[in-house]
Amino acid sequence: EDGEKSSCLDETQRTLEFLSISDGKEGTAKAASHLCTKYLEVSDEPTFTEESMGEALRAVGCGGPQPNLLLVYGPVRCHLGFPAWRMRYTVIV
Amino acid sequence: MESLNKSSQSGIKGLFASFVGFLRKCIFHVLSVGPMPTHIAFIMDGNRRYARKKNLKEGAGHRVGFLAFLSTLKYGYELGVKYVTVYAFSIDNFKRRAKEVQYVMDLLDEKLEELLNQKSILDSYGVRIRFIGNLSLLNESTRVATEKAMAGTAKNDKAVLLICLAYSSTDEIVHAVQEACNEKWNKLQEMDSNERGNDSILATRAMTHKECAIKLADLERHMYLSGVPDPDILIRSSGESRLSNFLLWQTTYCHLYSPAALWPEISLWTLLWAILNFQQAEAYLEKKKKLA
Repeated sequence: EDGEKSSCLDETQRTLEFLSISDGKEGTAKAASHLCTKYLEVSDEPTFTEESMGEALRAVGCGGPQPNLLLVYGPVRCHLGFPAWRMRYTVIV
Repeated sequence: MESLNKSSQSGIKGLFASFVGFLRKCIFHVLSVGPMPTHIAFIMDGNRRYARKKNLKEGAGHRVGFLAFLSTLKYGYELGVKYVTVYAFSIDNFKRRAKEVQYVMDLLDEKLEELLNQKSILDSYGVRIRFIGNLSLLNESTRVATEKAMAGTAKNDKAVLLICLAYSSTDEIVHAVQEACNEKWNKLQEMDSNERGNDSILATRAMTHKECAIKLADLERHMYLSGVPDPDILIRSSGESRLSNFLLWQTTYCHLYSPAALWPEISLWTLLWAILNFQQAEAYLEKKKKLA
């Protein structure tokens, strides 16, 4: 969370990130596998939270800041699988 | 003389209503020549703004919004839409003032009771109600009302109304991950004593990582909307173009439509326009689906 905030607010650095459809649902499945392995040896089954899911996504390389604005270039207004975790409150135009 | 005037007026009104109904059927028939959506989702935004705009007391906007919801539902099912999903209450909405939250919950209990008592829309279109979300967050009376509504419509099988209550996409995803992991751990525990007893430590760890791999299909199976086709159109009223943590997982190839009208102002024309837009977009979206 702090790492994401600092990369968002650091005005001296611009980040260009390329995403593909595999960063969406498949990225979530990778994060789920990460959680499954991480807590395998724990005796009491843990209860996952949105925070733990966010950490798992970052651990597998599918974390990142939530865009404020998603510009869709094409004939249809559709997000085409943009990572769900990163567009909860994103304005889609 | 007066009674004659009244009966002729009601006769004219009846005639007019029949004509409007006939015209609506003609429009629906023409629209049905093109591809029709199977599933439409709605974010019913703008009830509070409507109440402020019309100087109504707090909460009245939701009551008018409920009428708009009923008529939209009726038009949708008349058009042959099989699944309708509505975002009735988000997990985030629990952060609103306690009085407003309680008002919405009481209104929901009241309207569910009304829907079940009248049975007009539900039975005539064969609608089964399902509640989607983290229902354990609801108070006792609302939970009982939802169970009653689901049980009361369980035998209907022509169309489905999915009401998202105490719902958010992120909560749904976490729930699916939790269920998938629990499933894996239970399977591994079963295998543990029989198959892993004599393995070397390295072989055990390798096998464990492989067995802990959760596939996309495992998550899909545990989503709240598992078994329901993804929505073809998502309509958010009041001109907002965010999804606000609603159906983020299910809307990969969904046409997003944001009419400016506040939810209580939503009309048949909004729905027709959304479907026309969908018909123009459908070929492109089908092509995208095949390429994935």
